[in-house]
Amino acid sequence: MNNQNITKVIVAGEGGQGVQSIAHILTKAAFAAGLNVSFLPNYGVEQRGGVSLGFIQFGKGIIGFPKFSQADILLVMRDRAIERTKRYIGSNTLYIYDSDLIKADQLSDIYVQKLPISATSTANQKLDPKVFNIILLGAIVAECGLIKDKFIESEIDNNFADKYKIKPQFKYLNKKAFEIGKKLTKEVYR
Amino acid sequence: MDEPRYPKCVNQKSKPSNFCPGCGYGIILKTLGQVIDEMEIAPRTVMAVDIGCNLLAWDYFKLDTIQTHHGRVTPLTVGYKKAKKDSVMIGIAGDGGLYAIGLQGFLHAAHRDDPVMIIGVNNTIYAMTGGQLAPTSLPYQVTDSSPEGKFTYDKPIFGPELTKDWANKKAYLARGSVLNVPQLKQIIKKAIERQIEGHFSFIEILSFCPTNWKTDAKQTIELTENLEKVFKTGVINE
Amino acid sequence: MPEKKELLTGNDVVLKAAVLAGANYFAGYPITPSTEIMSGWAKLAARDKTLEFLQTEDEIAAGMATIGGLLAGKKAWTVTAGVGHVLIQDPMVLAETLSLPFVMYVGQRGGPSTGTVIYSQQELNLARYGGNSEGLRVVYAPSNIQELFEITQKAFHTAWRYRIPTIILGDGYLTKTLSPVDTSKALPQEKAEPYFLNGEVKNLRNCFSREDELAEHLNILFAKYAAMSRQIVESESYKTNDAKVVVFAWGTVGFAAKVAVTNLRKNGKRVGLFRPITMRPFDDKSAIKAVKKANKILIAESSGGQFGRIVRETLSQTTKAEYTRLYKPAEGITPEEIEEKLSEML
Repeated sequence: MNNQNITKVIVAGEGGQGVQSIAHILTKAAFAAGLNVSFLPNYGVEQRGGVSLGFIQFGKGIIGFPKFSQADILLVMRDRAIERTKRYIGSNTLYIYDSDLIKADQLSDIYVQKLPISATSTANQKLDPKVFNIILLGAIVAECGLIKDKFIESEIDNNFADKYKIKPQFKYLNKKAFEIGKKLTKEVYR
Repeated sequence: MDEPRYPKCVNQKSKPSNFCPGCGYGIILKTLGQVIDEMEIAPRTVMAVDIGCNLLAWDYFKLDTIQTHHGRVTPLTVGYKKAKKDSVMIGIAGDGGLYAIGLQGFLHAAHRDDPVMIIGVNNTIYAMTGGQLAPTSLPYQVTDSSPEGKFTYDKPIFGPELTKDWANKKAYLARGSVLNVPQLKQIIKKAIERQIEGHFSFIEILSFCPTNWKTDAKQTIELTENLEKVFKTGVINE
Repeated sequence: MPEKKELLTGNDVVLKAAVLAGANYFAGYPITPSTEIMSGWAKLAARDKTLEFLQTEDEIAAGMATIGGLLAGKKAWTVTAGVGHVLIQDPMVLAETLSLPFVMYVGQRGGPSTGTVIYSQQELNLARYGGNSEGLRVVYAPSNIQELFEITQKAFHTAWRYRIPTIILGDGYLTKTLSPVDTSKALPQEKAEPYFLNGEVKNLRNCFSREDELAEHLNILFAKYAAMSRQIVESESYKTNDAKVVVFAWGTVGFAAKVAVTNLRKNGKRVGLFRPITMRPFDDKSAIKAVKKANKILIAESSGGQFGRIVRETLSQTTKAEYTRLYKPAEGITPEEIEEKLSEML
């Protein structure tokens, strides 16, 4: 029961942005990779809109509680979610955000390592606006380094299987988006 | 052969009856018992009573019975029937139990067309608690909680008529009176048949309560005849 | 059967366990965070003719209909939460006085009132003594999703074996969380028998005319409860033998506390955990034993002290240990927070 062996991720955004999709893909891929895993969705009473959070934990250690105090990786997809997620930031938290939807000065009082990813503009220009969240998922996976790409890719395909039947090109677009997400992460550090 | 004093399905051991002298429940239960005998359905009949004077009927019959809580007889009746579809399920409640605290469950059973039979006894007051205002009380009626005829409603609730809007077209809805036993017997029989056919059935029975009405025998009959003028007896939905 | 781990939510797990335990009748009313169990059942019942389903107009009706199902010999159950749990205590006390095997899962949400739809441990008093109750029911508290699977099955067994209303007291975190569970193990079950139309006339009453009549009825129920309690009372005492500081916690917080204790033990700290599994009856004996060596007690719970009052009453005659409270009404408590608190106390 060593908590150091567990990676803690929070995905935060607005309802409809695909917060739950990212969380499910990550959770199922970690499960397929043979890790312990837990995903707790967290939202208000409204069925649509509002801030949506996902608490995901995975790793070789034992997961003690579905919620946690500090995230290792915090992905914020919309400015509305900034305030709600502040309490989960610790000194070692990596703050990933969509730099097209959130400006750096909105995060001026957040003093942790930040990783801006221009997911929305990249998706719009190179792929399809809908796959911006898969770019962000790519950033999380590149950072935590615990789950092999094949597990993620397979869970992306499972998650969107129904959509592929109508628009088969999304299989390719998602794959590309995932690759771009990982690539953008490396570029920021360069 | 002489007709038996009590129907066969009545539990003789439960005598003497717990009802007040002159209460209308004796007539209602005896008539119900005769129908159960005639239809030969006792071995598959279950009865649930509400809370109110009807709870005193909990051991009146040699049938499986259960006392529920105030206003809760309908959902329990519905729940049992759903689990035991070849049974005949009868629920009895007063005007308070059915039209006040239990109205929600009662109307929704009608709406779903649950195949149960509900009997609602209307004596225009809450009798067990000492004669308070009921949804069926008449305008200006003096009760324990409407002294001097104040705090009453503009008009009483007309149960079967109200239920007609909610119920399936095939539901059986009627009103009888303890003053007209042949008609009462007929509508009870019809209501049980309709349940067996798979539909909701409900009869309201006008009854008297000399204890709380504070009436002698003559006044009791007169008052009940008066009620028959306000609450029209007969079939409301065939 | 070999171990078969599936990725499931707590709601899926409750449903799977109930079906495995032979549940064949469900009446309920939607309320977050437990709604998915009802709609999950509706989907099963749409395919399987042996399963009955009734969506009622409110929770009182749900409970009364469930009782109707039990009387006909169905393994009937229901699910609720929060203010729905308040309403369903009305039929619950009917089941209590009639000793009916009423099984109910409760997903605690924040309160008072509508509170949140998320999580709390604030429905403990209600589960144990809700309604005009004498607490003649069994309340199980699973601490994680694996236990949820086993305890849900066990609840059906206890209910029918002892003919006693039985509550599985979960919470929104437990049922909304998606995590791996082994669902291969089926626990033994009792056969359901009809109360009515079984050849012997029964008149079931909950209303008595005289005080002494009711007293006689209650004496029988209390004696039966005491005898049953010895058979089913359950708790976990974890590393308490030499513990100087013992944390008392239940449900999901109980599991968080176990992780905290494990971590501190690795550094040689003499800490332990007492976690009740049956919240009613309560395992007084084991609780008293768990604090034999302790000079400090931490009570951790997601309520303003509902559990703490039980603990302090249970231990009042036997320990002089000092109490520290970690009360977070309607908020989660993580292993890290408990570890930090315990470290401060050492």
